[in-house]
Amino acid sequence: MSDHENQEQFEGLLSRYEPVIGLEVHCQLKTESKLFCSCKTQFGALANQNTCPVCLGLPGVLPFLNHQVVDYAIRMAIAIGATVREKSVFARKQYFYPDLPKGYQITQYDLPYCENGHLALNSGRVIPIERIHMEEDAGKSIHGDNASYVDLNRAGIPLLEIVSAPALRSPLEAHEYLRKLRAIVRYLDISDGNMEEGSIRCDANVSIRRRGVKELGVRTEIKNLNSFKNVERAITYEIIRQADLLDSGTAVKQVTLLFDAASGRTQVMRSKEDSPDYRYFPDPDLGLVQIDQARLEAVRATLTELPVQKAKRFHEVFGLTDADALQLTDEKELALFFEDVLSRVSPIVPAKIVANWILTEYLREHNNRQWTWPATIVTPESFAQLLRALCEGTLSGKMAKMVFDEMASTGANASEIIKLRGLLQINDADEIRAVVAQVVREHADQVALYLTGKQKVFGFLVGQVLRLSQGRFNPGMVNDCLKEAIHESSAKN
Amino acid sequence: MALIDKAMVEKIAALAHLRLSEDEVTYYQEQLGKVLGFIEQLETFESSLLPSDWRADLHLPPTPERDDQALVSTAMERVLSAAPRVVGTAFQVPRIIE
Amino acid sequence: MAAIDPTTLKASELAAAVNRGELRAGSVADHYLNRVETLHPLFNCHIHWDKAEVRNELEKQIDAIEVARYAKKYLPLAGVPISIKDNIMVEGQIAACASRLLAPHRAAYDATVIQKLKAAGALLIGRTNMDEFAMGSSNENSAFGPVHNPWNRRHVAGGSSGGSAAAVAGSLVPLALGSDTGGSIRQPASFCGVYGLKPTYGRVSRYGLVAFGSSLDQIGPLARNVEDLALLYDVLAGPDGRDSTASQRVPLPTQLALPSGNLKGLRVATIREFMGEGLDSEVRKSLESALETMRQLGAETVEVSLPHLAASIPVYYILATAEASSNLARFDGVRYGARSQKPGLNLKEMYLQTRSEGFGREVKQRIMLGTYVLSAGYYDAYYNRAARMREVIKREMEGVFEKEGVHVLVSPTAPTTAFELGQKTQDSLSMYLSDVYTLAANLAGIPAMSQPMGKDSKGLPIGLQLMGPSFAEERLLQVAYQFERHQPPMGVPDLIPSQL
Repeated sequence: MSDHENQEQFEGLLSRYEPVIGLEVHCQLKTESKLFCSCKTQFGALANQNTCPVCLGLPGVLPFLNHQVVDYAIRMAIAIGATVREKSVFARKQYFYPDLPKGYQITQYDLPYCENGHLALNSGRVIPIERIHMEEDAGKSIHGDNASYVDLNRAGIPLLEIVSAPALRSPLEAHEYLRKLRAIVRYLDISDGNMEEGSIRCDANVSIRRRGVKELGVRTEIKNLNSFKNVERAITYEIIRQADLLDSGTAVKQVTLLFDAASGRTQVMRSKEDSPDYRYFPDPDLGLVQIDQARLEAVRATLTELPVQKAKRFHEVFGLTDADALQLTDEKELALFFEDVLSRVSPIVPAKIVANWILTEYLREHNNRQWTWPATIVTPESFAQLLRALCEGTLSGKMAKMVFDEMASTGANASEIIKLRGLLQINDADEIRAVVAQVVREHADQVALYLTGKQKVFGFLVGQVLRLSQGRFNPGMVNDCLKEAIHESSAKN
Repeated sequence: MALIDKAMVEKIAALAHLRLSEDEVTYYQEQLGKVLGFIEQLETFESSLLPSDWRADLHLPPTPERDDQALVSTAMERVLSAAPRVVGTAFQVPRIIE
Repeated sequence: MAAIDPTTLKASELAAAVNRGELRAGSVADHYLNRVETLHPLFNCHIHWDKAEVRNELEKQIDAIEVARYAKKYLPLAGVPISIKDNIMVEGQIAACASRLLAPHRAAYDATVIQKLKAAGALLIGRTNMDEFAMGSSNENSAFGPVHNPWNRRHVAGGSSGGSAAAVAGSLVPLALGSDTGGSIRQPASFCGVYGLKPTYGRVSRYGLVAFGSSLDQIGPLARNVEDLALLYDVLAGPDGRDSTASQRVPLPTQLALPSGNLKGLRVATIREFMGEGLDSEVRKSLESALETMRQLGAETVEVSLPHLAASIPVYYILATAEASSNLARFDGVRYGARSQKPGLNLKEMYLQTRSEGFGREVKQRIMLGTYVLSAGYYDAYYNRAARMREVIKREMEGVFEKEGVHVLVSPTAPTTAFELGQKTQDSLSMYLSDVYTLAANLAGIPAMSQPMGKDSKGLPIGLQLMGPSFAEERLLQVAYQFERHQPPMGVPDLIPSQL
């Protein structure tokens, strides 16, 4: 089936069924050391290089909480307007797996540190976030042909698990929600938010119900979605699969699924009956996590502007449209790039022009060429030179685009390119008049035609002048000089 | 003692990752039955001294926190030298089938 | 230099002699290593013990003690031999918890208490036998065979720190470390006629102690007299940045002498619920005469009632096994220990086989009991209810100290003296019931100790238990010190040859 047919089928399906989606997002915090021990959080070159007795789960070791993790966790809670529990509890979640060294994961269960947050989508819909809790990551298993190999470098790295309400209504909304979460953790500087490298991981709960029906359908859980694209693909696939089942009168079974990115399908990992009995209980090796008002306020005081606040300011102070402001603040680095460029060109270049150029020209190249942040190919300073030249009138719009193309492909500075190529716009009236005089002389017929009232010919004449100048004459001045020359010549006649 | 049947003994053993022989199942059914029978008397002690929503974990002392400072441990070498099976610096286990 | 027999010295005297240079740490080490070697076949106190290896490992420590002496730095345990229970980590040494599963396991780090002992100049002489993973009350649940009671080899040494108590009783070492989750220091101390202290929960770091019941476990000292017990306790106690449950309170050195020189003004209480059914008549008599001694020393003796203590056994066996089932999940054969050698096992079979081959019968039973009480549908009926009842017991005990003005609670440490080997091994419940007097202190987190108060008609020691409010270790030690001075000494068991 083609993508197009798929799309049509999917839209048809959405007219009958409403998807109900919740996301559980695991986000690695970028602390220096692990959650309960002093090992480095960077990935070691060697397996088990960044481990110690505690994260190896040796007999006799005990966990000791990292202060920074709690502060980062508080930042996140404040950012989503959530309630922070004054007393929260670490619990043990018990299951056997080789990369889980203690046979249990230290996490938070029924008393998480954070509850009742929310996140607004661009449509204005507000998605409730039910809870966030702190927990430790597991290690990694590498699978060979006959054996598996356990590397515990990742074991004990701090995670936040962020659980949304089942309030997302489409794969696109799920995608947007996830992007916004990522933007927040990057704004807060608590995670590098890199999905491909696993610092953000996502599980999705998906069910569908007939339009107009209130009760929720049976849900399935899709595990370990490791890219934005796969989140959308897996959820879409799952919605279609459930709709097919319901259409054929078959009930959806409550199962846990794994998404296979290669085939684009979900596969059953385990059924509800096989769901493990985790035997949660409070971890007796740790006390209460206490977060009082003073600590909350101290962390709040360290917070910088969040995406929503930034977008609002861009709209109110700079007069950007809501859409532009939202798009510019979608990623922290993009917003910072905008602010950086603007501060270098203000007030010569209006904010709207900076925004337009960044959202069209700059972003196009950024995406096509897969640039990463911070910008090193086209630096804020170079981009500012370009926009300044444009607004000061030393570059035409067309020339500016040419210069930008060269900046993007060579990484050279705008001012260097302009100088090297002699691209500066010519505003010298005498030089322009000389060429204009030549054109008027060589195209006497056209001039005559113009004088009879054929206005269109004027454009042809301007074109001739610009061609001879290789596009470097200031077009406004060419206009003026040409009119002047024609009038002079007619007066002479 | 009917408190615990063979199937339950086997279920618990599976959860705890223990493999029991038939004799052991019989033995533990009897022993656990006796102990659980004794433990049942706890029901007679339900106390009104505590509010019904009182829970122990909310009355623990606050857990201390340490500075976020990375240190290098040298324990890994010793652990690897004594581990049951190691390849390179990774622990080897029978292949995990998902 | 006149030859001093180190065996005749208290640990405190030994340390003083070594610090003054009257005794060399090396010769003390040799003396005690010989005793351990010679007496080992009689009692089986130590496990995986190699004299040459231990002597070799001690070289560095002996040098360090010499260096400290030249620098005139007083080391409180200079040259004092000590045996360590097999569940406490000493870097580079086997730490098997008397389990087959951990038999090949060498510790990769030092427990906090071991760092303190090394810094104090102690000589780590050997690793003592115990009930596997500290689960037991007779030291019969050991993969390395039972410990025999030094007063009568046909009787148990008690458990789970049976090896530590027997080693101290037999003068194999002057001091030993034990761990106490439900009486595991006090009950063997009582059975072997020595002194043992379970400190307040959080007073001694648990970092490096293999966890059994994490909310109950405490490391504590065993010794042959109160002075030595206090000496070792002072070295162990204090905050630790690696144990979140360790108290931040900095302890002061224990002063043993009471200002009054007697027990005047001290209110001592017995517990009505501990004086009834199951209490051996000779043990009861012994307690009564101990109370009489205390009265003669000026103490006031009263009886209090603690009705909820009867719930101690169910509460303890729910909470301790729940925690244990979780704590012992890490023994999976992946990173350390004895992985099953059966060929062709898949991952799950490897887990099952390793754990089933490695754990002994009692350990499996407690893991299953703990798994059961935490499993879906049973949590509230068992774990939750037990956790609440634990609080009731705790408040009841605190109330005795705070509201009724009691300074020290006393009871027998165990309802009987050391029972015979094999007597209770077929019935775990009867074994559990023998812990009845010791569990409460662990549940309430309060300090408790056992000291000898006589012998029964079979010549087996009887232990007196003292319990105080949290962080009142010094008070317990002071009372014990006064009592000790008015007791006939226990002497040396007949089994120990006088010339060694």
